[in-house]
Amino acid sequence: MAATTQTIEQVQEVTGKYKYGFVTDIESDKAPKGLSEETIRFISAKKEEPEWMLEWRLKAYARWLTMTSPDWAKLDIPPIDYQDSYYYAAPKSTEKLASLDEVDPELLATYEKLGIPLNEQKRLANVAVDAVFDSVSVATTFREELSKAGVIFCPISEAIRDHPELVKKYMGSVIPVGDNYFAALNSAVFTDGSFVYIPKGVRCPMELSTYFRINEQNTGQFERTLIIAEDESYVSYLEGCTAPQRDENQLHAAVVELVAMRDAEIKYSTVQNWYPGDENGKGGIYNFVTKRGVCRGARSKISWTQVETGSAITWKYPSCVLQGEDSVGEFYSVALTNNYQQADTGTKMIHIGSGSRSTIISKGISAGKSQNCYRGLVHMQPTAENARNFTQCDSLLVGDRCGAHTVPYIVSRNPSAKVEHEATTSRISEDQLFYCLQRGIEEEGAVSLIVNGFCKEVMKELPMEFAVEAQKLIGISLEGSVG
Amino acid sequence: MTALLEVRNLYASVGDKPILKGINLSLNAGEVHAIMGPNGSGKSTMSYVLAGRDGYEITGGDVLINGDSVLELSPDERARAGMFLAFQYPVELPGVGGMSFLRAAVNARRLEAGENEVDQLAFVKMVRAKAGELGISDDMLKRAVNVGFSGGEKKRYEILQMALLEPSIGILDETDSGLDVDALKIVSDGVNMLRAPERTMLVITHYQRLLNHIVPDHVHILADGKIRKSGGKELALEVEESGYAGIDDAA
Amino acid sequence: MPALMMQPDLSNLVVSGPVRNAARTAWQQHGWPGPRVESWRFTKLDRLGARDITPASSLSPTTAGDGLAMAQGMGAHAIRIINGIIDPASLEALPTGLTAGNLHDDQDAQDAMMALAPPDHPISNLSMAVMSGGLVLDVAGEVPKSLALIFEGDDASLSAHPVVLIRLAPAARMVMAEWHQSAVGLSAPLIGLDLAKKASLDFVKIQTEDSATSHLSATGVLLAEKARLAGFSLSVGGEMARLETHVTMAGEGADCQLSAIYLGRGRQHHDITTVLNHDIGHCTSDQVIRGVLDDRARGVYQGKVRVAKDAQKTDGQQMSRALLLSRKAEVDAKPELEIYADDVVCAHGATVGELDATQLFYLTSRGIPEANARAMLIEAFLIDAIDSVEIDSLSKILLNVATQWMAQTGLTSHGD
Repeated sequence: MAATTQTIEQVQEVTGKYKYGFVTDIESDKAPKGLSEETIRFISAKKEEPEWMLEWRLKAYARWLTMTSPDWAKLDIPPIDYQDSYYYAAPKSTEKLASLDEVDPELLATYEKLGIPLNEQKRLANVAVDAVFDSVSVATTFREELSKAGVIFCPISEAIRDHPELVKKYMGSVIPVGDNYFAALNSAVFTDGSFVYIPKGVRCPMELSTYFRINEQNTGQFERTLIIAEDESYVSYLEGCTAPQRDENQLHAAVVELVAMRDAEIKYSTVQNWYPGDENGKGGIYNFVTKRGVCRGARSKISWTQVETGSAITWKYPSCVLQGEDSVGEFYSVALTNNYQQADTGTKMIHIGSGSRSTIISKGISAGKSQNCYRGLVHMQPTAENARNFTQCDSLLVGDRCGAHTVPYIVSRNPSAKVEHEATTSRISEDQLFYCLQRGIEEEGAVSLIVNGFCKEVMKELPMEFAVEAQKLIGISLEGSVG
Repeated sequence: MTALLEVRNLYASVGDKPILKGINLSLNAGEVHAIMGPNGSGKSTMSYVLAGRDGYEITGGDVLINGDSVLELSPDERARAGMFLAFQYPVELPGVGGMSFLRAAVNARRLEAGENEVDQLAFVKMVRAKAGELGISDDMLKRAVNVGFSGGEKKRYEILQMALLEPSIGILDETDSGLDVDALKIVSDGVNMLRAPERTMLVITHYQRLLNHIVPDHVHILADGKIRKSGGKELALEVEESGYAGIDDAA
Repeated sequence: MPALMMQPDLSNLVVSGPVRNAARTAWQQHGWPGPRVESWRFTKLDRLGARDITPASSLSPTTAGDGLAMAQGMGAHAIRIINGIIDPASLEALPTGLTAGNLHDDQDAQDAMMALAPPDHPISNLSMAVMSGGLVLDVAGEVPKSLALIFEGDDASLSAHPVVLIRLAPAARMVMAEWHQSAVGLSAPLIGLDLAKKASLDFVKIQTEDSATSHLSATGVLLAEKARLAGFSLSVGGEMARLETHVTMAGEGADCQLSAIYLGRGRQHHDITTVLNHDIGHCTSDQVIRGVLDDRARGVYQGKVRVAKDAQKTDGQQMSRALLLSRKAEVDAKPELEIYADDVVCAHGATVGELDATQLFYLTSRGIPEANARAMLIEAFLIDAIDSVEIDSLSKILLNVATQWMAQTGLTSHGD
């Protein structure tokens, strides 16, 4: 693809910079404002949850009340009033739907506008989509095709009702309710998200994807995703996120848990494009997310790929617990910040199993007045015989008013384990820029081209459909940072 | 007749240091001019100044393409106006795929000319054909721009870009530097293929040997920021025999 | 927030002057860092909480140790600091260019010391407040003789809090060795190095305290325009040791090389912490760190390179490598880049592992017994870092101490 020219077009076609900033005018059903036991009971009742789920939520809430917001990240987080937000908002028309044809046309139009057509004729070929709108899943495509293969792909609220034994067994097994402040909050008030179960020996026949959309004002989104891959199975899952352009900040505190059994592989890709706030730093999503996968079985593999361009503040460390022998963890990340955005993101690789291996490739790009920090932990436990880690963190500064930071933590307690970490910080060289300009490419296009080159190692890990989108996103997100 | 590229009494400095001290050149369509000069004479500065690189202050004079001054134009605008610089040291662009880069450059010109973007398949075909003539392998085209290329490969890749972009003015900055005899032949053949009635070329070199392969119509000797002597191709041979010192005296 | 650990109380300590009183107030307020303080996440001071702060009241003679021999060996003038108290006899007949003053009576120097001292560091407050011994050394011109600061002591019930401020005048040059070999309970030296324009200081710091001693040193450095510091720390002694150095480059063209080796065995805990502030552009810094850990020893390296906004053309390099020789040993590393200027070249690298199996095989295939081959590779690993030291007398000291440690740890590179 000629990334440059496409990017330029894209930039030209986008007025108001953030392409997804529109609001869908749809009536919604909301919980009373604020956070309390009543709110939680309301959510649980709305979801027609069994008693055990409610108890689990209340326990998490009790735990959350005793906790404090983490302060170790390199982030300047304004105080958040947890009582000034809605914890449940659902489009009024969403009852259980027999088919996609019954989905509110307004919602279908919204997703189409976001580039995610849901109806049978237009939907993406070979990608099954679960569309989550504020607090509920409004549609899931390709369900029948998937169930023929034995794959369960449904909203988590539905899984709680229909597959309680699986949910009970795995939910909270990777990220306990009290893991951290935001995970506890999510455990108490989570509303929807996706549930995926791949049975033994099954290679999921298509990409699975969830598209998260925050629409309602003053609403937090607290989705919860759980993916279980049984022995010798494979699944590739991707998530996308957008939100309207609003002046106030909105909270998004998600939890994603992955479980990979023996010889299973989960590939989890994210293109995060929540509303980042305007060029003066007003508005935008607070993206405080806990994502962790456990490689439980031998030779299992979990691979996280993320392209983070959105959100006013990002606090996110998709991690792998490498329990199984010879298990593999990967983290590929592009984090781009512009204007007043702040990101503190990275990963944790916890090596327990012998022969476990991990790779971390992080590319941070800071532009405007933004602050971008890589924070990562590599932990070799005494049992991690012959374990290996390789980490490469590169930061690129665009302009002299932003910051790029690298904070790796290495803990090694096994002499046969090997950890290698490399990091560099630089800017786009004048030579490179001049070379592109001399070939007739405009400055903004040249910067986008060079930045995309800088991110290449990560971009190539994304599924094709998303790679092109992500490339354009990099160009758009850099807009205004040049010259 | 308006010259394709005209340099009028051009003065340029880097910081406080004057490098170009009143250069005059007039390049007509179809002509190949050579600029020869010793190290530090201002040869590379001249190519950068013509291409509009930051960091050089124009303290006097003008540069015109087809009679229009281009001093106010940015490097990319000059490039789209028809100027191409084959770099002495081509720059590596890690991660930037060769094909995307070439297409971006070609499309930038086409869009400005109000043409459609080039068709992807046809483009790949065209690049492969031209690359083949220059002995550039498919593997090289797949790699990131200039990354891991040998000195000779980089120079051939510059000529490939010139062939694709079809500039009206080609400036070759020390294209022979770092090339062995075989590579020099391939590159020169590539340049000679691009000689055309509607195009002019400015070949900047320290040594006469390149001019055995790319035979110029005019030769200029640059020393201490000025053209000291101009003449036909025989002037290059004179330099070869008596060195630059003698030429300077003659000025 | 309530203190989460016991804190020694200094309210009965007799303290004179506003600077030391302010330091005491700060100590009373903060004390030892609690378990959640990020910069102390790998080194916990729980054991110190219960310890009373008991400075020596008077100078008592001790037998001369390796430190004096080292000073003699390098032909240095030795200043002895015994149980935290400066031995006045050793301030006599100072080499040309050196002038000694009493920090106790010098408010301006105390102020200057606090400006240099690592901020929010417990030793900055504690040792300034207690100041069992206080010394100001002014250095002018090229000092013809090296200087050795020997920190001795034999009383485990004592804690030593010497404070030493060394000021190098413009273009002054000196070579210095710090030798820590005390057997006090807590050795807590606070040291300030203030280098004026074009001043140059080469120094080594040898931490070879008694095996029951806790060593916590805090060093603050200020480099003016074109000043040059080449420092090398070697931490082998003590039960628990943290050598923390903060450097601020405040003038263009300053150059800072700050390297360290930590060698641990038994249940030792070594911590090397550095903070390099590039406050202004066109400065260079380079850090080379090597660690070798045996038995149940634990090694920590935290190194932060901070490049301020507009500190363009900064070159900051950092490389840390650690070897684990035992299954029970642990290494923690946290190299950190905090960068606010764009035209910089900054990089860091960190590796942890065991000896390279291919190299080991290569040596053994040549008939060298494995134990010797291992020692040979470890020696090479350390020499690689020590080689960067330009002053022969200093690299010799480093090499001697490292070799001695290897022999004591049973690592010999030649056959018996």
